Amino acid sequence: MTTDAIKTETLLAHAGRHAAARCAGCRAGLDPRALLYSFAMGLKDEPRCPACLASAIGRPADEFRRGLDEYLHSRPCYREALTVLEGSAPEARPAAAAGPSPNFRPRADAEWDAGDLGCGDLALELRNRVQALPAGAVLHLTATDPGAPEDLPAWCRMTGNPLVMAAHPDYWIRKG
Amino acid sequence: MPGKFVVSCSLGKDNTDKATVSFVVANAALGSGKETVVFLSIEGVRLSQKGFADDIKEEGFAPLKELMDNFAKGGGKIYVCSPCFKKRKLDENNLVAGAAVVGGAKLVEFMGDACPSISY
Repeated sequence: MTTDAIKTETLLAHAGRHAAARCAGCRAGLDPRALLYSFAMGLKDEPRCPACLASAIGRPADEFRRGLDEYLHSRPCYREALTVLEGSAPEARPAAAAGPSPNFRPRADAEWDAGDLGCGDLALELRNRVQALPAGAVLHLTATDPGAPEDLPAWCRMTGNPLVMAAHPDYWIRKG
Repeated sequence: MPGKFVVSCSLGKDNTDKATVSFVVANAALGSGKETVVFLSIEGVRLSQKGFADDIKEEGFAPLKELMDNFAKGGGKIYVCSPCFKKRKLDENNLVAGAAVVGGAKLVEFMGDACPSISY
């Protein structure tokens, strides 16, 4: 299978797993497009509605939707998944226009480049840094460790500090 | 809600018997309806690489590759310790089915407050 085909399969499995999910923020119902928006933002296990996603990164909802629609349509894997889930045939846009993640960068109140720290070293220092922030502040973390994509969302869920967006090696975490 | 089960395996070719029975027990847990994770650390992380387990066959058990394939096909997850993985310079693009490189937080989250586990 091509990388795109594998990715489409992953996206469809993800949408199936979360078919009855409600927004992790406001409990609103989620349509397939909202699930794909969340996946594109790196929030594959805590999907949120477009309004909550936009609010988390400080953008107006319509601007956010336009940006994500552009992104979804420009990547073959997402476009294919949308076709299957919505039963439509969205117009193709050139793949070259898209980067590896949507072109949104949340506002950050603090920055930490953790380099290649991982596992316990990363978790412990991260806890110290987030604890030092005021409630609601966002930390932009850079972590290149290969375990980070799985570990950081788990850390966020367990500690109650929501993951705003993930685009490895960049992560934005809000102090809960 | 099914129960959870973790099998922790820290050995690869340094103890093929333990590496094998890790997956035998994991399949028993999976087959018993448990949501099962095999956590690989130390030399066990080498089992995460395609081809590595191909020549491991302990008397009395199916070949390890087959046990691992069946585990993944049955929905079992293999969590591979990231620091051990990096230390041994292994290849993230060459992981066996069901495997993901993780740090400790992911394992800690899975185990939650009450999760039986067995360690090899």
